[in-house]
Amino acid sequence: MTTREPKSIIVGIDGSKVAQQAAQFAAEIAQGTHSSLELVFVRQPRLIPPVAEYSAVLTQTEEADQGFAEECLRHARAQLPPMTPEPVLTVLTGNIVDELLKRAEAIGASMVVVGSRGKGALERIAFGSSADGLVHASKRPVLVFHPR
Amino acid sequence: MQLGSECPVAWSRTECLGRRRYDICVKTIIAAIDNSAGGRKAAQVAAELASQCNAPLLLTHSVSPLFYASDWGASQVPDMEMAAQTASQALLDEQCASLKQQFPRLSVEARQLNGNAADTVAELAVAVDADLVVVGSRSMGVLGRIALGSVSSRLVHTCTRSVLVVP
Repeated sequence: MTTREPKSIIVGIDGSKVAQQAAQFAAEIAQGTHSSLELVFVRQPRLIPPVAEYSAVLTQTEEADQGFAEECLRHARAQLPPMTPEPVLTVLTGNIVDELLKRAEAIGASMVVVGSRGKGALERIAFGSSADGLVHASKRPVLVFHPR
Repeated sequence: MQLGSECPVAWSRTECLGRRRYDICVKTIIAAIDNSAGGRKAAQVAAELASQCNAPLLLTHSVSPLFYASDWGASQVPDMEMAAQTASQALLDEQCASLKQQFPRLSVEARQLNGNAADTVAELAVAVDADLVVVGSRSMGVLGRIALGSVSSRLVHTCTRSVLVVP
């Protein structure tokens, strides 16, 4: 076994049960491989024009979205197995595939983990053309978690 | 499958079973390999994971059946199939030996499969109750993928177990 620099595993969280299980699976691998764990929620950008009349709505929506994302991440963290290294929680905004891969590159992740189906964008990852997008665009190993 | 007798990580198999919340365990890992740089890298990544997680590794290689549209050359088909199987076994043996050398404590088994790569591996994953299937993604290059389709994509879509695609 060639131990290189410390490894890290990145998990896409979307609030779905499968994503949560994927995080548990990733935590187990992280523990086995002595990797650090990062849970990432990628928010969809809201298409609200940034004009003065909408600023209140925009702020409200932003806050709600951010709150939901953080809640999902906290919930996923709470469900991790005991003795898991403390995960980093990150909220990003944008296209889910792009942001996940960008983040993976930025932290030099050794693996990207996503659930095989979930809500919204992650569901499309598994069943739409974005599956090939994530799997083939990624320069790093991608694990598609399938619940038993 | 006798390979995965104990849970690899910090909590034991019985604890896993006792606590419904944490019933995910990495027990058996399958690596679907082929004779390409990508396939070898997938085997490498799988072996690393398996040895770190203390999980047994099952190396597989699929031999696709040969199809001929006409009778022309049909007499040579059995010979060619035999040659393909011999080559496949040689690849498995070589990979097995090299991984055993690199990871002395790892338990590795090889199994040859006959048929479509993605489908046979997906079936095997269920049959041996594997937790993870590791596969390379770029064995054929862009043109090959367009012409023949991608094994990794098909596996991700059809396999009912988790799939790790190694670029």
